[in-house]
Amino acid sequence: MSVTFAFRLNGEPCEVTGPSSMPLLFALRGALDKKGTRLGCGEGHCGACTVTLDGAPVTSCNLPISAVEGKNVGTVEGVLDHPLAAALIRHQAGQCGYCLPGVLTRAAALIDQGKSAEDICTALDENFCRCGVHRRIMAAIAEVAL
Amino acid sequence: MNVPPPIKSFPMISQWLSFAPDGIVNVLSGRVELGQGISTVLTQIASDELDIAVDAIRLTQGHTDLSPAEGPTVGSLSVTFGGQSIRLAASAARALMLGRAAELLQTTVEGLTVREGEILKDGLETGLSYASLCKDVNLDVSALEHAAPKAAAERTLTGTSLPRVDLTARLTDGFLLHDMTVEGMWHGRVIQPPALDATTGDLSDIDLQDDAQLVRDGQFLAVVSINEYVALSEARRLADLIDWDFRPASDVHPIDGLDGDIAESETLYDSDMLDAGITEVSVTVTKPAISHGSIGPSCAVAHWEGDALTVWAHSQNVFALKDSLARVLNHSSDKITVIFVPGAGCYGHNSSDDVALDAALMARKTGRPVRSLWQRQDEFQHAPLNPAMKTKLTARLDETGRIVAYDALVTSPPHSTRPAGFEEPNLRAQQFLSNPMPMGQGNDAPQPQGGADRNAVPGYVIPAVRVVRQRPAYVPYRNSAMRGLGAFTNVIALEQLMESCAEATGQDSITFRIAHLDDTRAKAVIETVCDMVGTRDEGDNVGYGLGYARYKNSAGYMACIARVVVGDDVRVSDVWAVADVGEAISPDGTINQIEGGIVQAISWTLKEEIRFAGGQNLTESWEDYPILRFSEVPRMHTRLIGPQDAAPLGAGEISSGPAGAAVVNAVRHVLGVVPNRLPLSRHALVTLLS
Repeated sequence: MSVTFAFRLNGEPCEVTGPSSMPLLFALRGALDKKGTRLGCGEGHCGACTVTLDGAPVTSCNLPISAVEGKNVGTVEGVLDHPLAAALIRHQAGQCGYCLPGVLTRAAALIDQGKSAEDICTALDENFCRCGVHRRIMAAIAEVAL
Repeated sequence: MNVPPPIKSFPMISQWLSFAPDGIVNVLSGRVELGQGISTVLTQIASDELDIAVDAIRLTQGHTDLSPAEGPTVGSLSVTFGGQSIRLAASAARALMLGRAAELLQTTVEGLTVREGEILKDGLETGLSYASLCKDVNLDVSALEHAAPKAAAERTLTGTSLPRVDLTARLTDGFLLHDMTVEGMWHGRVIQPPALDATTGDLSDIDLQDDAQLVRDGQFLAVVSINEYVALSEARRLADLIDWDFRPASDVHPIDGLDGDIAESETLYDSDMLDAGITEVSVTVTKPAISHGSIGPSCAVAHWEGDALTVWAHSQNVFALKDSLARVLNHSSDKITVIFVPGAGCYGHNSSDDVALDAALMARKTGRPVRSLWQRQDEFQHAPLNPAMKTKLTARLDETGRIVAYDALVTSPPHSTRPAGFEEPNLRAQQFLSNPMPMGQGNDAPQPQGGADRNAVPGYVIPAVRVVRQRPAYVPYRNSAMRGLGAFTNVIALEQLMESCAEATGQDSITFRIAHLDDTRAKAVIETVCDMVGTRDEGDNVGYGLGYARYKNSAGYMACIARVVVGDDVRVSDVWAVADVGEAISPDGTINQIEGGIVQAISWTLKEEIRFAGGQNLTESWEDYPILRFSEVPRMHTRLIGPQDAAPLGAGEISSGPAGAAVVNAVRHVLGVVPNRLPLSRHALVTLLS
């Protein structure tokens, strides 16, 4: 049964109608047309679909849309102006880039919370990178994190 | 002038580039952007040769109606073959443009130069440009007749690290095929039969949601819907309801299957002096089947308009995919266009071609454009895998401690089962259709490229060499190519053999290697990497190991030293790497590729294994298939030492073997035993020491 859920997306109010069990990711990539958030494993393991929920990083592929009612969802589209986005490009910290929106979203949120570069890199164990660009990403984070 | 194969097949300048009146240069390539950075490198090459701004280059890659059909983007050949072809064609185009300008200006070409597409005489503007002359110069002429590429010293852009032209776009939506939309497009999810011979009965009594539709052709099943989540959830629900009939598979583990019946054996190199020498040393290495492990599942979009089919795919070979689709769909290949759009990194032949057939089948049945996407479990269980293999190497040494004979026995399924057009389409769904088509067996390329036997021929100077490759009869999965093919396992085995030979004869293993090399560039990478490491802090649990190879004995030279700390697990703390790839078009891009290959190889070496039991592939998710994570990635210290005026040798796959070998040798030095079975997981360490 479809239900309408109201929440904020990168600070802007929005509504999505769908079954309450539908993962947030499908609302983002579907009706909301925010496709920067990527579907990786669909099981919350790889981190490609990482978003923030009231500032805290979560995987959106296994987060029911009902769980975001009244909250603020942050996606990669909201952090493209974050200093880390530019730092990732400066360090050429990407190859295929499939993981990067999830990496950027989690790391930018943790930088904004004042976490150390070391803590952020530990937290990034939740985000898989298969091309092997980890060290460049870590260098970019070290440049931007306090 | 070194003439690469593609420009022999596509000899005309117009097959590689054209000039537009708005100043844009359209460059065509069959090589596709897999995340390795080739679009940047091809842009650099064309820009440098034409003296035109980078942003005036518009590159079309892997379009079957437009691009030269260069074949697959594989084997670290994209710069060596594809890039060099563009360099020659661009230089020829520039020469023709200057020739025409000289005619119009009634002067000689010697005083003419180009700056950002404007033609200058003695440094001053002439009013002529590539744009103004674009209709005046015929490019339907032989590139080789006019090619005059710049000398290395004249190039200004190649050899510099141009930032990737595509990286910013990859940070967000709209760049990848996964984000593509065609008007009226539906979403599809395949329900994978669990085995090749699996069948299921009538499904007409199963009700799907109103906005979902079942597509069936024989045992090919898929659910499509305008709503992606509906397609996914209904496909999952249906998959749980379906009973499949299939023969139970043999319970032989794929690694043990390598010691079973042999279907075919081929002697690739032979010698009659194999019993020379007085000391025999032998090593055996096994590697399990491993997954390409793309972070993004494979995706394709297909659209039929009348009898014309367009497929957007992230295939490594759109040209073979087009002909393969024609064969399976029983459709004229003239009516099919396949267009490459970037996806997630594939690292070899994964399911990216399979999903294109799925999309085409769904689109044909429904009469709508369909985007098909595999699921993570499909990727582990139904995509082709890098096959299990076993390499046994035996060396015989003479009284002076030199290797005089070498015997290699490589047991592995072929690594090349790529869709090969009409002959062997090899797309997973073809075998399930009501008019089924069996999958081909594939075939490894002959030496010196090789497949399973890649780099089984030693790069060291040894008088007598035999290499035998044998194919096991029992292969309970789809086998395919992955970054480096057999070179990963074979280089690990060979570098262990060098260690064992040095040990057995009381020699220093570095000196021993150098003594068996006659190529100064090979020696240079080993000597440089040893110098880079400096003082070693060898504690009880700390070890260093070296790995060296020249990929395919013809591409880039690579030496790595790994520092490992062995506790409950193996941790790689540092890797020093030195490569000579000849001309590096983008040094930073080259280093990125080399380091990426090192990280991936460490992951394969320490962690990765597709799990089988009871004849079934039990790997369902990332929880069953750990890969190297951020906190486990070593510090990297990488240098390129190749001469920029030498030919480009290729870089993307050169580091896997040496990195794996460095780690295995480092672990060996800590444990004092020879690790012979990958991965070197915690469980493997316990077994090794007991």
